[in-house]
Amino acid sequence: MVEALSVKGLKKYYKPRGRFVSKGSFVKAVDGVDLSIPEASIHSVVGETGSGKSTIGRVVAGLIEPTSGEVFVQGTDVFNSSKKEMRDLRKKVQIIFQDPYSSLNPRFTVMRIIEEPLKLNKIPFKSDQITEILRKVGLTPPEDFLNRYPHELSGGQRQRVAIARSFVIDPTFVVADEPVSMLDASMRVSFLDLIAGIQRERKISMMLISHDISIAYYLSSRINVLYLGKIVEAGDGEEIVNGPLHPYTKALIQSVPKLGKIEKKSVDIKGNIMTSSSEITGCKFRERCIFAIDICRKKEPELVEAKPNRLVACHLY
Amino acid sequence: MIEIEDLTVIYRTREGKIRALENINVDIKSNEIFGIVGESGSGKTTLAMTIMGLLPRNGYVESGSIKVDGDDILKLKPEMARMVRGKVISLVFQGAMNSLNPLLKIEDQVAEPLLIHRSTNRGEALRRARETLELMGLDSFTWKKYPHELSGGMKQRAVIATAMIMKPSIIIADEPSTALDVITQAQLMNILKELQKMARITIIFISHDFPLVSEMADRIMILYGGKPSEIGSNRQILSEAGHPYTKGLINSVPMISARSKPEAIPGEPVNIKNPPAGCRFKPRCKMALDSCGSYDYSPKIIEGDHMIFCKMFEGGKDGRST
Repeated sequence: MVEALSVKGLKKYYKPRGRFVSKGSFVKAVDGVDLSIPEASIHSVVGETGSGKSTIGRVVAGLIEPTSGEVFVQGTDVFNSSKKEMRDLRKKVQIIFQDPYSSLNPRFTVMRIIEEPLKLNKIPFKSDQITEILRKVGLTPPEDFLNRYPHELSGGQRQRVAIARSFVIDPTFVVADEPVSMLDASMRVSFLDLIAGIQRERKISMMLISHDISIAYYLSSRINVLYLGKIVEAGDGEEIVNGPLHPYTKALIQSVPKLGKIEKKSVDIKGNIMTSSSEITGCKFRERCIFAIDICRKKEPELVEAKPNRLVACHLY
Repeated sequence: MIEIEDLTVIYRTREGKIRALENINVDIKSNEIFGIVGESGSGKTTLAMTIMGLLPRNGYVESGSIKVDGDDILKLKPEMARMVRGKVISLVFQGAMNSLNPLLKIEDQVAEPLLIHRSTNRGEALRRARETLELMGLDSFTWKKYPHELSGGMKQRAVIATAMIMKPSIIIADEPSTALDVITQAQLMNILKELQKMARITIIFISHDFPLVSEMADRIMILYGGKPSEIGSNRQILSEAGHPYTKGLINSVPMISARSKPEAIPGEPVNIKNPPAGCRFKPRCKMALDSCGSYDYSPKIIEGDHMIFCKMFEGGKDGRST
């Protein structure tokens, strides 16, 4: 069976610019990532700022080229295909961005924003298709919204427009990059339900990117935890949340705010992501890890199957 | 400590007057963490700005008073009000880590309030700045650095040090952790809590993130569309919530440990340019009655200072006997 997404050995290095940079140094945003997402399911990539999660999303959506590695979306090689194949692929792949303030053209009306992907991909359409998708994302009655500009809409309404734009061309694969992080907390669940509803109905495959593991848990069946460009733990969402193995995954879960007063939050981690450098030897997480042992300094742990259906890159397992 | 009485704040705009906050009555006690929860347009930032005297030009206080230790800071002469605000109350801004001056070294930045309020000379100011930075867990390695050389979490600590240097008795933290990663956010919350215990200060903690506030606050006020919905102790709000909006907030949390499926609050936050008549939550409320359109926000006092602003609990000052 062809998978919705297959990523192998993905690397994306950036060469820092500027005068004060030593020659030959690279920022390793993504450093050897394998991912696979079966058809009609949602998998997530979770990590902090700087983990490389958005870079993966952009490479997968074909927006930037990887340094090395291969990316197949529904059987098409994203970076090694004929023009015709790429045109066909672009009609199937969409991305939902985080910020509904900067991702919508302020000079376009809602109608124009939603028509744009159809026109760009030369897909014939009727105007009821536009009203239909507006209704689907909860902008009702659609006629009230067609001629409005983004600045006339609230943040939530803008994100609904962004979602409508992503789904109007009937994509079969969607990258959702922090789709709810700019929204009020009280509205997040309704947006996640909206996205999940369309996904189920149309059997869309999806890669969710989030810094919040509770969102990933809510929406996706499998979670991949990313740290400094590498996957440190991957497995079934339910199993990861109820029994994380990697110390970093544990800290991510501990940090999620829960209901009820607490004296002190135990977060078993030191420093922050800037503390670690991709240049250090051994495990890249070791300087933040409270369980670090001697071997962590010498040898970088490989991603291994610690138990059935669970991958972990940690010397403790 | 802070008594807010009948506060109404208005913005003049081209489309007319916007009542950003209306008839807010609340007492904030010393040495407590007082949480304010609200979504966009709830008036939570307006409240912080009013206390700090930082309302934008088109904003003004229509009525009400804000008493800090007995003095109404809205009526004090500008000079005096500035003194109170500088020495007694400090503010940690939204997106605080970007509020540092990129051209100043961290220690100079932290010392600045002392010099502005002419409390001391430069040498002494620097000494106290370093002391405060150390207290915040920033060691000598960071003192001479510029903001761009520090990580988000370190900048956040520096900003809190700046707020702490005048030894205020009240800190207002307005969405201090938006734009931070969850781990950094959790670490910051621990710092604030420690600080509150150690320095015995009052913290007004403002956020749209209900679970986050519930972890921090001793008492909580829930704002909706410029009006209060419910005020009570942490326990009262979490276990004895009365207002449908409060219940909605509790049920909409995607819980990582519980099996129960979260339930979204339908609709969008209220547009305060054009609020509905009566209860502002009515259009999103599952329990709404026709009569909610004429609700006048007279509170129901349940127990002690647990107050619910909802037609279902229809007014009156005596709670249980009815």
